Amino acid sequence: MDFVLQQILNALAFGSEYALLALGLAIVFSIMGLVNFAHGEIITIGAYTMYIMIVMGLGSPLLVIPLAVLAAVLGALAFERVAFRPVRYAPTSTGMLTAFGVSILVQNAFLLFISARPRAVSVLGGLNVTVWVGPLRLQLLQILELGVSLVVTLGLILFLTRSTLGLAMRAAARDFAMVRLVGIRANRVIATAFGISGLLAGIAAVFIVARRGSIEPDMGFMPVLKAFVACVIGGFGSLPGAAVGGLLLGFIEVGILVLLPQQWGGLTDAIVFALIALILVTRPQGLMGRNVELGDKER
Amino acid sequence: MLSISNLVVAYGPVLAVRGLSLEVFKGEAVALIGPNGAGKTSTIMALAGLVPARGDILFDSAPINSLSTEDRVRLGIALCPEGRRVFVGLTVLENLVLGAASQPDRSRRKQDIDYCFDLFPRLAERRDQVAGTLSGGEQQMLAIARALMSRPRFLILDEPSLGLAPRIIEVIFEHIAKLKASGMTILLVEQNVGKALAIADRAYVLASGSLRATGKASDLAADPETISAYLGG
Amino acid sequence: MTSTNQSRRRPFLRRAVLGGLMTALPMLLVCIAIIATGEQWMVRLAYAGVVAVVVVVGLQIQMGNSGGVSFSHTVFVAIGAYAVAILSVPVQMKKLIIPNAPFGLADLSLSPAAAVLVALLIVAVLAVITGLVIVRVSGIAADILTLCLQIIAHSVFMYWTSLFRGSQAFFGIPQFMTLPAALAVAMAVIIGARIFRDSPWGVQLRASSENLLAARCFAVNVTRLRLLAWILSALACSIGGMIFAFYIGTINAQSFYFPYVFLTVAMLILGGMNSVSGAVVGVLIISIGIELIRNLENGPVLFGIELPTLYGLSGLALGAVIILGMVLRPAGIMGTREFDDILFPRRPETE
Ligand SMILES: Nc1ncnc2c1ncn2[C@@H]1O[C@H](COP(=O)(O)OP(=O)(O)OP(=O)(O)O)[C@@H](O)[C@H]1O
Ligand SMILES: [Mg+2]
Repeated sequence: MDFVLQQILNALAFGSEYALLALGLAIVFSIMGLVNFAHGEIITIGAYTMYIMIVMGLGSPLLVIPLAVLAAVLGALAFERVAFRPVRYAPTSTGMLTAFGVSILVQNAFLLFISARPRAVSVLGGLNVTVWVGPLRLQLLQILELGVSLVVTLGLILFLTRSTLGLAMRAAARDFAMVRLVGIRANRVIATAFGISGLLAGIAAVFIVARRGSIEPDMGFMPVLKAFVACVIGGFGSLPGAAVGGLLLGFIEVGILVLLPQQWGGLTDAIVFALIALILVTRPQGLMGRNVELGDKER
Repeated sequence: MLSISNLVVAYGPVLAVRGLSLEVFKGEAVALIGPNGAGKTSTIMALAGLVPARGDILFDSAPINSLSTEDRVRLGIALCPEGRRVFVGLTVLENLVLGAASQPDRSRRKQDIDYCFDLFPRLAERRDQVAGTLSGGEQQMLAIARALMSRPRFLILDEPSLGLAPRIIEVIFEHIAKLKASGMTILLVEQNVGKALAIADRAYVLASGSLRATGKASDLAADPETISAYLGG
Repeated sequence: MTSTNQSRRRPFLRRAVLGGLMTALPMLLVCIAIIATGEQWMVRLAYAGVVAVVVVVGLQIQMGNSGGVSFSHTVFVAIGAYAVAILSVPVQMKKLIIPNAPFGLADLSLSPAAAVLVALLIVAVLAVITGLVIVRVSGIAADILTLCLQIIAHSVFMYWTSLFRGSQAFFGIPQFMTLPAALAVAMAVIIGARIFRDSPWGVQLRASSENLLAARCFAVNVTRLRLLAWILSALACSIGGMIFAFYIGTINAQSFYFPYVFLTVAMLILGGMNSVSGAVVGVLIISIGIELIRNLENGPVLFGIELPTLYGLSGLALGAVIILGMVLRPAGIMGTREFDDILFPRRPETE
């Protein structure tokens, strides 16, 4: 029983990390149709900010965490301004390759200016402790991860349903031109989308670094690949889909890890992705995506 | 108030508008009529800055060619586009709130919403209904109300009667007449020639992207030849 | 008589073959210049470039005709390379590297020609199986399916150590290929890609990827055409893997994984994924560019000053070139044109 609960928390923690990242990808995709493969580098920017601050002797977690998140937000905004704005109305493949370009550029910048090898970042190591919640032994980090993700997601929901800009973002996902026709600035909507995606990725970065205890230039790749997959399971561009897809992916991963016999451990990824392929083939529009028939018009 | 000269809109090799000049004065209602594919919507979209166009567009005697769509709207132009394009995922109320997005003065929003609900009581009953589930006529009312929320000085309506039952068209046109009476400057794009000419002061007839006739609406309405030549009856 | 009949029935064939030769020309010229210098290290680099041409042209068959992005083409490069490796390594060598290979493969050694044939067969079978799954969906879901395929295949390469040696290199493959031979192969692949692109099938497929609904109305069997493109692309990519293995002699699954995927996708999109010439141009520009910058990375002596080593510089430049390329030419350098379209514009269809 203890074990089961621990594994559920484990799955929820991983799942909420994927959900945070997937929400960021989905919010950008829903508004401008960009598959932002450079999302992982936003995590990397947050992580390296922590490292740089520690090297400069500013190693207090109270300082490191907010600044890492801030750096991620600024990084996302900078990507948008410099790289994605010029290709805003270009075809999907153009945007995707631009994102690859940004991703390669940022990774190599860290490789060139810092190091190709992993560097230790241990300020947040204190979070990797077990705590007793009643009779249960649980990881503090996982509880925090779940809690923070819940709060952030609630905040996002409030923003999207209560503020004018949030309403505009939801509307823009379906008809961007009309949003501009009521006088809302396209640049503002898109910058907000990137800002939110940066915020979510920055928060995820804090947890990722706390868990890994180290950073390296391509550390953003795997998490974002997973987030990307989470988006697709949920239905690409759908925000509830991204959240659900992330959680589901967490459960699939932990489930397979727990259920798979030891000697097959190397096949975890293969089985996870085969399952995802199966979901996609049976429901190509994703679990929560709208099933749009060809030629359908929404109006 | 609005003056367009030598407007050319091209989609790749397709010329949709070929050198149109058009003027709308303050307080006036002007109809832009023409058959399918005449270039009416293209003209409007060029006005709004949503399709690339050549030619001069002056609003309040100032050129607006280089302004973004958003900035044009903020000058006081409101567009109620073809096909309504209400925000389907949002409620009626949320649609109206977005319509007021270019209004810096938040305090007037409540008052404007009440005004719209007075104008279209059917919307008031459905204030929390998701716009995608409204009927076509209700969506058209919402589209017009949303355009009004920005307190425009210049209202453009693109085929407000499209796809609506005659009774609903009556209602919509009554409302347009009310707006005109309140002093609003209106550019009305219509295929329903009779209705459009009845409400407008002047009209322009467009076919295949070029101007074919223009004059006082009452004169055009009394000239069945022009009408049938360009509009097929 | 027969030949005029032929060309009347297939007017595209002549154009595709001649155009294909022109498409291959820049690659040929660069390689001939390099062979003329006689510098062995440059020949090696040129060989890697020719392999990349085969792979990227293979990728173009899929992406350029069906639309969408593929992340799995390098799986077939790897399968081609591993298949010929496993089939053609001499038996004594196998005792050393894969003594426990399943299916009696440890005691089997084929001639390279036979190994290539069997390998193509294996690739074709795997391509049909994977293709049947992937053509069931379209759009971004299909892109993700290829991503899944890449990860699944890589896990299998890593896990099945008795056959693929996992993360260890697979060595001892006969090394008989030369740059001229690889050039001949690459030209054949380019011409093949051109024939497919210009054939009625290719034309229909490209039209359908632009407007699926219209294609359905005209009863084009899009699914079958997509499957065909998928299989042809897999075969071409696997040929790239084979000529790679037979030249270098040592392969490693890691080298076919995501970095190679991104590099080749970048080459194609930068050159222009809608034309075969775009594929060739993309490979040339990125390969040459990276090599030039890689010299800087090792801390060269410039005007008597020894520069520090700058690892990461080539990647930095690659990223910058991709971004700039996309900003300035969103449809890639060639757009939808082939070289011959620029020199001899096609007359509008008269039918
Ligand atoms: N996005 C586009 N791309 C290519 N051609 C277009 C585009 N939009 C409009 N056209 C063409 O431009 C011409 C004018 O179209 P437009 O929509 O302006 O006509 P309209 O007068 O509004 O017609 P309707 O009364 O049917 O709405 C048409 O021939 C149309 O096919
Ligand atoms: Mg129209």
